[in-house]
Amino acid sequence: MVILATSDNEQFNVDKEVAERSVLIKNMLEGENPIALAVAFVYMKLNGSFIRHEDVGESDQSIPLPNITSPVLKKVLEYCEHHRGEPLPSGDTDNADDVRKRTTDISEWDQKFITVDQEMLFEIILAANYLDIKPLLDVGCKTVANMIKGKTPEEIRKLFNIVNDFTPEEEAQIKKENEWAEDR
Amino acid sequence: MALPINRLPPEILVAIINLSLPRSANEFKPYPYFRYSWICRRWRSVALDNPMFWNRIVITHWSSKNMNHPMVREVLLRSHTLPLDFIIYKPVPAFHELGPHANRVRMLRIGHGVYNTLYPPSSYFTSILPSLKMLFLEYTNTTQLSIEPLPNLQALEVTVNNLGNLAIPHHFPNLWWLHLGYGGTMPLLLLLEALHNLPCLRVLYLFGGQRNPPDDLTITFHHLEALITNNSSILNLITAPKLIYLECILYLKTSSMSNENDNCLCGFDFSKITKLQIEINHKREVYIMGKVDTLDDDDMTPFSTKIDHRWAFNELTSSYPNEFYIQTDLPAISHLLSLFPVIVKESNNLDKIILKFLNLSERTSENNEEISFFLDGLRSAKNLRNLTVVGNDFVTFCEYLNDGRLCPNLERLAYSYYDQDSEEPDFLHPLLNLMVERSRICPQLLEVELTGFRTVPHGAPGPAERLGLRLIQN
Repeated sequence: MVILATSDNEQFNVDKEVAERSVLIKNMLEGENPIALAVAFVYMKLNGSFIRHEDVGESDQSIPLPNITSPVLKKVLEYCEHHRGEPLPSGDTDNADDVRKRTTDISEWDQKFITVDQEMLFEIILAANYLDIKPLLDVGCKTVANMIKGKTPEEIRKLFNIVNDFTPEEEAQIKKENEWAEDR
Repeated sequence: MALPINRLPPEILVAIINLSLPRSANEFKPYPYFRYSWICRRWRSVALDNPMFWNRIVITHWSSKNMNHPMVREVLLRSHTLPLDFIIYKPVPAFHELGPHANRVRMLRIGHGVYNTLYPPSSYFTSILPSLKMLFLEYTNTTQLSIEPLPNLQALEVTVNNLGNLAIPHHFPNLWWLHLGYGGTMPLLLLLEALHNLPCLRVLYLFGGQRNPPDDLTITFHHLEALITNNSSILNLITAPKLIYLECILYLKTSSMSNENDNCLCGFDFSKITKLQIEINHKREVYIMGKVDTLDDDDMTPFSTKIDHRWAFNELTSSYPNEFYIQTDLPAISHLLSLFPVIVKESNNLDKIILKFLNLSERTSENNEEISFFLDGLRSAKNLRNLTVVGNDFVTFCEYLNDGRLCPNLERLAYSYYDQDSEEPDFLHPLLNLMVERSRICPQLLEVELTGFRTVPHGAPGPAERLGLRLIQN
């Protein structure tokens, strides 16, 4: 078992196999990322949330996850548990062509899983990015991509409460650019 | 507190933007990124900082754009040092200001569509394009198109109604992918000779012909007769030393155009070829397909979108299984079938054959000959491990199975029944019996698949225990 400690001082006992869906945690457990581990420990100590465990399984101390709150980690672990045992993506597939080739299809279970409010959605994406869980990051990105697909700038602003912070001059310039781009 | 979306790092925002754009739209709608640059300063900065959003310039038929607009220069600057792709679907004034970006041009696609005005590729850019790797040309009608020598060109596609002598590719020492499509005429002999001068050619697509070739068609029998006189054939003239993939789709004239040229494959009259020498060598794949009457009436162009060549271009770099594919739905193409046993015999590595036969369920003197070619071919495939037959000619399939010379290495047999019109005969019962019987002759035969039938007859026999049998009902 592995113990994961969240920023709000909650601990999660997790099967090693499930925790290792996260490349970050996997590397920490294999001692391949001591710097990340050390940084996390220092961070937690400074925040008074450093936790030691003397009696738990293979590891005698928890792994601090200072960027993740317990509700988010709970969701992330639900995902890891469901996908336990599936092959992990190998290698770096992030080149431009691969990005273009990817579709926005999401499996039924994943779709249900990711049906959460916006704040949780972005928290899951950030957590997946931090923990290096590529398939979960993909699901999150695809979900947001599906939300903005085909929408106008105004609709996207409204969707995410984004404020239009351009000056009138900038906006006029951008409008001109867009007119050129839209002339197909 | 920052908005949740504003906490996403730029690289994730870039990934999201990319995913939000439909793949098919990427090509002809190149500027969806502008939309995202209009949301707020942060999104704009993310969009502007990513050169990959800006390395494609597209000018379509409907656009009033031209190449010398200041925004073209701006987009080129935003693309930083990335390779550039240009898609131009209208005659436009030459682009004088490409200047420092000329050596980044990687792809050029020029099409004239409804325009008839002729502009050769060189007229679009006043600069030399030393890094041009892919050139795609689609012209409505020209026999004067000329393509200047491009030393680094790797892929060339020319699609025109009438392919003139000047469009025949020469002087492309690095060309490995060549696609020639033509509606009416092409100088076949010149083309075949040109292939000798393409030392790196690995992939050749030859698509052409039309349903009703014009009277002044320049490819006619006499060309082929010339070839035959030289004791040669079309296929052994394709001697590009590194060719690994050849795909020809040649359109026949319709049978309603009944005249002495009826069997003319737009010049490729295989009935005139008396001797065939097909060198398979290291060519792992040979696709020969014939099609004609299946074309819809409104699909008069042979360059329909049924085959995604761009996909093929990307996929061909990966390795392919050995595969020989004949698709025929016309008795007129039986001459083509005569190639089959020759190819099979010569190809020691051929281990998979897919055959699709339609309209052969009734035996005639004509298709009897085809069937004998088919059976001869299969008998010659010494290393055949995987056979798939599609169509309504189960009689021939049974004949093959009945034959004592069944390939001993056969591992998988698949039969997919396909008949649009006639009622399905009770073929499953005898076929299953035969397969079970044959599995004794072929010790490796472990997998049999039967698909496409509509009814399962009562009392269908169970296969031998060791035989993996899949029945997939239509």
